[in-house]
Amino acid sequence: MGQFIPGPMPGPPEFIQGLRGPPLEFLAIELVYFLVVAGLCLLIYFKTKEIYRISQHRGIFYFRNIFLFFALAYLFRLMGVGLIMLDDPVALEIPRMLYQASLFLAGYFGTMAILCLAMAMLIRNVKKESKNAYYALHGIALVLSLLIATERSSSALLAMQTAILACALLIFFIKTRGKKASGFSQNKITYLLLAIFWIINLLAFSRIPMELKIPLYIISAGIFLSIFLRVRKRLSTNGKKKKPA
Amino acid sequence: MAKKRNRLEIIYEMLKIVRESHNSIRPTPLLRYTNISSQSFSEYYRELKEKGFIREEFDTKGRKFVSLTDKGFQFLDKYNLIRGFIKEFEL
Repeated sequence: MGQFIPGPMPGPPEFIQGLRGPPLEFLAIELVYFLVVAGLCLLIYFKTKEIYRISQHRGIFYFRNIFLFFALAYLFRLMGVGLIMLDDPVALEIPRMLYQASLFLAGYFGTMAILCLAMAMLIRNVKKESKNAYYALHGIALVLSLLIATERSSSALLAMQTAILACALLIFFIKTRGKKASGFSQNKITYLLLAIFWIINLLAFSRIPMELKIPLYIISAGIFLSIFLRVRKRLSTNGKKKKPA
Repeated sequence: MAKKRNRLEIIYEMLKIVRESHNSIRPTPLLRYTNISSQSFSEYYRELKEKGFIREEFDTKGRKFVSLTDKGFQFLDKYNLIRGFIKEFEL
């Protein structure tokens, strides 16, 4: 009588195999990066709430909204990056829908952040802002993000937001041409860097190595931190000037 | 030649004039002391009213007087802070 030799143990079903997931340290890095950036953005947003409430200044309005929208954009970027890290996301219907949703929402809020950034740079040069300007920005962001989400292409999202930033820069140069306060000050450069690093962060939707991501994350977080420290310093002085000794 | 005032400075001056007039002034003297065109004044006045910085009161003879709201007082108190912030971030 032959011995019973058991066959190979069946592995997990094929659709579960794709859920092996990324190394935990990669997820941890992404999570820490998100928490730092989103935390700083929300701190800036809430710290400027009082002075906006009192002044109703449009420049402060757009300035605050830059950081609110970046916080939301980074949240959905984290979701998309997490889904990208699954070995075989396309085999799973739910993650694919989630990925599409994260692309749409990251695109929408990222576009709004860039548009608000452009408005914050330009608002001084606008004599009278249209009452519907803000709603128009939402409309533009919504339409563009829907188009990108239907394509399910992070490259298209990257290209779209680069184009929006380029248009904003062009309008800025046209509006400030020949004026005394034209050109790039430290603030304008900081705002630009925020937008550029957000666009670079979209590369995370592609599988770029962590060795390239980490330095980008550190610099990007540093920029947000520098803005937060300036906001805190400016608002904590309470308008009081130091008296000479 | 005096430097042209920006929007924030004009609002500050309008509210300051109201406060210094014992928080009650008629619109015509306010226009005169603010030293801007009547069209600009009407726009600023409407904006200040819509945003809740000032309110209108009427005396027994039906004459209109302008006074500051709490928000208007807060604006004056925080003006330097707001101006410094706007200047710092070039808004």
